[in-house]
Amino acid sequence: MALIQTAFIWVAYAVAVGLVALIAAIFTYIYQTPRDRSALVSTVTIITLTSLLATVLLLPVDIALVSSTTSKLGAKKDWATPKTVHNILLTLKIVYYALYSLDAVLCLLVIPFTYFLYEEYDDVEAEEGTQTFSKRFMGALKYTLIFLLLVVILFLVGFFVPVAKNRAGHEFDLDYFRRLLAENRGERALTFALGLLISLGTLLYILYTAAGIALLPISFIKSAPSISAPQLHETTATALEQNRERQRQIEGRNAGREGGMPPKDQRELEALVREERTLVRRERLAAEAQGEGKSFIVRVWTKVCAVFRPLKLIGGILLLLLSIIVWVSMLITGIDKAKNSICKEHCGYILGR
Amino acid sequence: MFPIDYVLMALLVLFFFSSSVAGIATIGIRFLWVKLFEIRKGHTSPQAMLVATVMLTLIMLAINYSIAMMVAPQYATYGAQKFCSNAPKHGGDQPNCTNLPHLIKPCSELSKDHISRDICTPSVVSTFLNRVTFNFPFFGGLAFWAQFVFLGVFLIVFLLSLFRTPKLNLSELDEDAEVDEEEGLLASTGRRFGATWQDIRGKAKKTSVGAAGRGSRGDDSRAEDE
Repeated sequence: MALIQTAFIWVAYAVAVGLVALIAAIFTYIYQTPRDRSALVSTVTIITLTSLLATVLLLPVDIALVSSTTSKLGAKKDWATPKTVHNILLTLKIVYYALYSLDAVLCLLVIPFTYFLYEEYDDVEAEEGTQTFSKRFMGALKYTLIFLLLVVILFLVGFFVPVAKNRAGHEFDLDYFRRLLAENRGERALTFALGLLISLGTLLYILYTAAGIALLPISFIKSAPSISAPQLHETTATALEQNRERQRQIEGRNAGREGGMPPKDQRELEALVREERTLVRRERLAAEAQGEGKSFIVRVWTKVCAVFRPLKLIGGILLLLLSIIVWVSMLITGIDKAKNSICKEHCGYILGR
Repeated sequence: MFPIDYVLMALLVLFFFSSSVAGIATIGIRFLWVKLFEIRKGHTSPQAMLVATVMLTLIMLAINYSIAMMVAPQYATYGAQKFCSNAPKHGGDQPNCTNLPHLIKPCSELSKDHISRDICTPSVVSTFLNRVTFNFPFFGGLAFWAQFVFLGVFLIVFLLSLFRTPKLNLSELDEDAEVDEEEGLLASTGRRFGATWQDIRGKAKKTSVGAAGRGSRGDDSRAEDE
């Protein structure tokens, strides 16, 4: 029973990671500009996005595995001996460390390197043949070394920075806290690095996630256009034809006239030319929206999007409700923690029951 | 209820994540008021892709904190675990609460009960996070109070978007944005469903040339003036 449940959770996780890799690939292909794309950048982006989503999705796996060790009656299940539980936690820890390290290496070394390698690329020099790959490589490496130095400094600081020591009071005399303290300097350095990166992330999270949570449901509701791309394309084409026909008429009528076109016709012609420009642009946009001239994957994606649009409208309303519920529950938890936590900032505002 | 709550948890995590993507796409990558990179469907430069990915990774760490500590603290720490506070007669035995449902308590970090230590297993992620906040209270305090700023920013953006139409659908035709502003959200919804159906079929509804829609507005009247 133990093995089946644990294995099931991990298999579900593997399937989720596979799906997530697909999402990352689609995301990358949709967002990048078709004019200026680089295989290396796409690959690095897809790998990093997959790894980061895999890290986020480890949270439910973690909870599921931990929850599966106790029965409904508040006792450990028969198979959940301390050794089994320890093994489960150890596996989880190894996966966490592996994924976090992968994220860190990708973000702090691989992505800066790719970025600088791409920046070093010079169209003119490459055409003249004066820019060799090794030259670009060395140039990118030089800048990446700065990032490497930053990482080393981060760990050195974490290694030597003092941890909070003033823990007077009986509330810290709990098993839970004692377990947290049992750690060596290496672990402390990792903890410090994690803390610093969380703080950096929090600054971005305040701005981007907060705005996104408010705007995503609304963008879902508004994402369905009120006129379909084929319809727009058709009407624009008709209008464009009529417009050009009318221009030809005016030009033909005035072709042989002495002293040029009368001002009335001239004004009309100018207006028609202006309108033609708008119509041409609109036609191109409509063709783009239909996925004309795009790669197969983008065209399939536009179709899939269209199929799911009614769901998106309903989903947008549900998401709006969800974000309001999340907001309210966060507010309540936050106020509760700020007011009632027995040890406040010394223990991260843990709320005891 | 076995797999459903984890699926919901995964969806919640993905909701936060996709919101961050939407946020980055709307606001763009900027330094104060200077927009450095633009993230748009089909218009993102390779540099912008890389920078956005790094930002998403950092945001993901913050999302981990906020879900585990603010959105669902009890659930993210102990899941559905409960412990039976009825002490067993012999040490090492499992406690028995078969007929004593009132003695079954949810697990807690601050529980003084020694039985809870044997039964409750905190999740690995909450242990990581508590280790950070416990050893470095500065980071803990920052991450905690930042959540209130988060709630404030959400409220401001939400109210703003209710009262004025944001230019959000970046890849959409600019004409549609115009129409959206003119007609209310509700009025256009029916048309949206119709348009969606046409997009699925890939064909436009048959219309007569005379009523060719917005594109030809004005043309017909001018033609009749002749």
